[in-house]
Amino acid sequence: MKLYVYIIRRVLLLIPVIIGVTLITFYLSHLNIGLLVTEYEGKIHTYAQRVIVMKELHLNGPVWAQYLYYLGALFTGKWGFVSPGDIDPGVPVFTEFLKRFPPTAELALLATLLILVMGLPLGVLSAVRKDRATDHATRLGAMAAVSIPSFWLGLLVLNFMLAPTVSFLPHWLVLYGNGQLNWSVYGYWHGKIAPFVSPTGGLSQPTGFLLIDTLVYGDFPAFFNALWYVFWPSLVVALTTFGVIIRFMRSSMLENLGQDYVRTARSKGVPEQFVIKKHARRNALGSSTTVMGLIFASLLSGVVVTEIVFSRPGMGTWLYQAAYNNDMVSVMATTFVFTVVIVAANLIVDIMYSYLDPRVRLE
Amino acid sequence: MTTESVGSEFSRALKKRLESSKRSFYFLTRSPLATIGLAIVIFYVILAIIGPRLAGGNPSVMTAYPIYHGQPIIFNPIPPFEYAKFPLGTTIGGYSIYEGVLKGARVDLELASIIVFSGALIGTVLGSIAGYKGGALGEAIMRGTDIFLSLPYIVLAVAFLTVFGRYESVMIESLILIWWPTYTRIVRGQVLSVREQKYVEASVAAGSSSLRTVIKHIIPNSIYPIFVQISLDFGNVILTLASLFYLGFTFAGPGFAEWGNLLSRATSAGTGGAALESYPWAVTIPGLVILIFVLALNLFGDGLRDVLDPRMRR
Amino acid sequence: MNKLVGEALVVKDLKTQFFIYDGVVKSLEDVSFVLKKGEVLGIVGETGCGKSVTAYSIMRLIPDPPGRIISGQIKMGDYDLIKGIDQEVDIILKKRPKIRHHNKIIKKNEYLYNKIRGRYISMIFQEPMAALNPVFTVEDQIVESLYLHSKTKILRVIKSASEHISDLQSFKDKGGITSELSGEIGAELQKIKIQKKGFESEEKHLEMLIDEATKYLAKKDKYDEMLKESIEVDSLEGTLFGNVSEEERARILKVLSKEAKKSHLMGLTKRLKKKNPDPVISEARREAFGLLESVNIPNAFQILKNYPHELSGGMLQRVVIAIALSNDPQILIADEPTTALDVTIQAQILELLRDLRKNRGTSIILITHDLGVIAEMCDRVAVMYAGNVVETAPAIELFHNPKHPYTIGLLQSIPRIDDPTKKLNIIRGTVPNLIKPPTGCRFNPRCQFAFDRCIVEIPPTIETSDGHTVACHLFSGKEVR
Repeated sequence: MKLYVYIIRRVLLLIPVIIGVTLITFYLSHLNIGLLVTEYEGKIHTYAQRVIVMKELHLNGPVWAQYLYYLGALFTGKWGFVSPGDIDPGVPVFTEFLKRFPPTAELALLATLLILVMGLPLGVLSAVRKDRATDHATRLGAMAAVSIPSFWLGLLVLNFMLAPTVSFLPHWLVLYGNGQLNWSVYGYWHGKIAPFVSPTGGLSQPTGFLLIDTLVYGDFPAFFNALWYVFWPSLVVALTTFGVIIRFMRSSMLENLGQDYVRTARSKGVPEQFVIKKHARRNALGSSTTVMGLIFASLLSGVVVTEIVFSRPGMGTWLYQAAYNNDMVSVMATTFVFTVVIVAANLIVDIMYSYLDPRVRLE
Repeated sequence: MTTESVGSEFSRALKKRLESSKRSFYFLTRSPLATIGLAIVIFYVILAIIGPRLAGGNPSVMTAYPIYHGQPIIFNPIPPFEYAKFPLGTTIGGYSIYEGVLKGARVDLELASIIVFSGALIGTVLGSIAGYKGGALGEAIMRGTDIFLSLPYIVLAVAFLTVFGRYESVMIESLILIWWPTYTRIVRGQVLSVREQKYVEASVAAGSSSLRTVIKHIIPNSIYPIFVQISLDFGNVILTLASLFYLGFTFAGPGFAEWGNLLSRATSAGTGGAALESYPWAVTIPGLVILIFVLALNLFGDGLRDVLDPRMRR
Repeated sequence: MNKLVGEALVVKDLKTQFFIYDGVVKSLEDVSFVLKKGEVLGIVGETGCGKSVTAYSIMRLIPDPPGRIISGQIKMGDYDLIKGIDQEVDIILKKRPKIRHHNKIIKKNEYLYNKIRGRYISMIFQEPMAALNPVFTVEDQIVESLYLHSKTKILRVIKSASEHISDLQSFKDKGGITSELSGEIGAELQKIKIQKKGFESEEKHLEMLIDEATKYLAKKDKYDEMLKESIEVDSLEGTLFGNVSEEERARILKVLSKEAKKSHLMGLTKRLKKKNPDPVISEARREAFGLLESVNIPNAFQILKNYPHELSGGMLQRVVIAIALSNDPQILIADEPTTALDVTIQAQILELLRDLRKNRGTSIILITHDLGVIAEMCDRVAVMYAGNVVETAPAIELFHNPKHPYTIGLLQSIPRIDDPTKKLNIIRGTVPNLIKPPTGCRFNPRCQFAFDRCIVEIPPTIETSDGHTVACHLFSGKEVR
């Protein structure tokens, strides 16, 4: 099967999952009149007004019609408004989402990168040195890292790496982080998105991704500053998640090293380092990518917690604040976004898998 | 078939399985890390049983001592070790860490047990159905696992607690909702592979009912992977519970004896730095308590997996 | 090594053991046999008798841990392939055996062995479905083997083709006409013609050769340099197998290992995928194409691009054979090559092996439990039982005049269609546990002729007639070897 046919099939298989997820969020929203009525919050005073709004929002119709209407609103970006009492009251939820998404995406992507960069080689190493000191140390270390409560590790890292008074790091390095843009010590935005000061003087964030924006303007000190502040939380997320990858890569490598084709490769006279690097690792990588999809849910949970601990103004902090303020609309929006991200991540993982292992496309 | 005969059938099959596993147990004891893990887990279980009695008072609520010996503890958190009453010191607000750790053991283990075991039970039942009956129902169940596996657990729990209100039952239900699909997948996989085995085919051909087949062959065969998964999930549930409580998504007051809550008392969110500087014990001790327990569970689960996976055994 | 008559491989007192949890499995105990040049030696025996372990020991493919070759000699010409094997590990035999590996020595020996595997000795396996890496194309896996051992040959062929073309050009410029092909390219084209795969195939080969040659000419200096280096490396490697002092050997190994790191094996897949590959790659591809044709694969050029899962079992076994043949090895070890295949395919594969011996003069060790295959294919047979070679004889002699009680039992346990009245004799009992093998002759618990001496004394190997040896006390007292 051609790769694109496989991708299309895989995307089509997502439809039931998306429907299921939206049914859950619809159900949760519906319980509290939810998402759509808040658009009119503060504007409904009389019964007559209420009837009009109910009709306008299709709330009088049968449940399936309401669900369809809900879906329509969801996919056209009509996500309601942030409720009063929250940090940005009255702002459309979708706008808020656009603002909140980049910091979280930066964190999650960097964490994923760190997990892969740390986890895969360690898993290979652990398998190659099976039952030797390196193997035991790696496994124990990985297991210990997975067992640390992420908020606690976040707290420790936050204080020991980023707070000048407690930090182990040399003072200049800690201060480096908050030198350039004069951001606070404990998280650089104080729960607000830091406006990026462009060289021309205006406040501008072309993409919202701080790591990209700073580069766009060629402001390297600011870039490294932003990197510094996204590195530590992503390290926390990566450390508390990457044990699974190590474990899986290890067992996958061991399994593949015992396969017949590895024996064939050796019988050809392929040097051992290439037996490992070319033959076994390539196969082990394929099956390990599937695990990446499975751990993405726990990775995002870690992202949420870490974000709150580091007070990064992303989706996690938004969820936290919204839940505190009983801002149902924002809570539903974040839930939906997180779920979609996980579904999308799984799709990407599947596509990567089919790229890495040509047998998958056959199914 | 009557329930009684099903029960005895089940216990006989399980017994057979356990007898054949003496070798496995022997291997487990050969792995020092897994043994240490098991010992620590047992220690925590004992702690959960006798802990609250040792600490005294309400078994799930920590008592606050904002003032002790005329000194307001909140403003004077100097080395607390001089007070015999607080052997591990106090947190902001004067909660005894010693008391919190002991009582928290029961609270956490209880909550996690309910969540993990219900999840495992639901997952096993659904997995057996999906694997054995297959068809549209099985397909629907498996798509369900897909959906619930794509929900980030902290987010779903927070959403539930916001929508349905902050109750213990809501938290437990929302976490069960997250933790069943793994079991469904494991059991279904086992069912599909076991069903192909000749001896199962033979017993079906001999007229064994499907319930009987499931109980006699399939569940005993999947019991080990389930066991491994439970030991690994238990740690994750503890971590998630602690995170939720730490972030303040609780169903109880500030004195609720839960490890995450204890940590949150120690740092009073946002002042982590100050807390670490002036009373580091309050931040480190509860964290270490959680870390050691989860690590022990993971060591045990991992050791068990290695022992039970014949490919890994040598 | 160049004599046509003589011994291709001499295995002497080979001892291989597996150190597992329950104890030491003494898989091979003093296995000795000789493989003559150009012959097919069959090794036959029950499952678990050590046939495959023998093959893997010769290839040094015993998984370690738990397995180890303890001692013995595997001589290819004058060179002992497992020289210094006892220095690789310290075995501490306590209640549970403990093995301490000396990784430096192992690495050194491994390095040397990688030059032998695939180059001098190749192997084909039982399960063709699993023997190829599922994520690489067929082409990739053949080219890899060529690339490891035959780089010089590849470069030489292109160089000769390019020289030929430039000669041709200058000759034409002077107004001459030629169709003479000279040197390596002549030999290559001769080889293609001999295969008789039809005009289309010949055209394809020629087209590829010309293409390579033009590319070679475009960057002549670079490739000439490459060829020079490659020849140097080859000659260095050659010296390693001769008599060199330890210091000299260490020095050469250092140079070579540096060279090996440059082997660019990782980039091979990518280079093969390129639209316009460099001449080395495309000659390797042409060579692979020729190899597939030589093992009778139809549509060979298309098959090159396929992944293993897209081919059938018989096809895959041909590919595996093509890989094994890629560097023209002197010895081919076939470990039950037909067991996993259909009967019709089996016959084809056996036919292929027979042709191969005829055309290339390769010595073959054929491991099987199928006496029918032995009868059809082999010149000589070694019968193994529980880690011992119990009898060796020319194939016909063995079938007509078996000596060892085990061989007799084995031959009698074959159902005979020509004699349906005959009752099948089975050998009683099972293969012994090799952790605690029986004392004396390992066959004694199952042997109907066993007497006191069998339980005490290990039987010596006795030559009863020319080329027929047997290890049994029933025949001792006669002439001792």
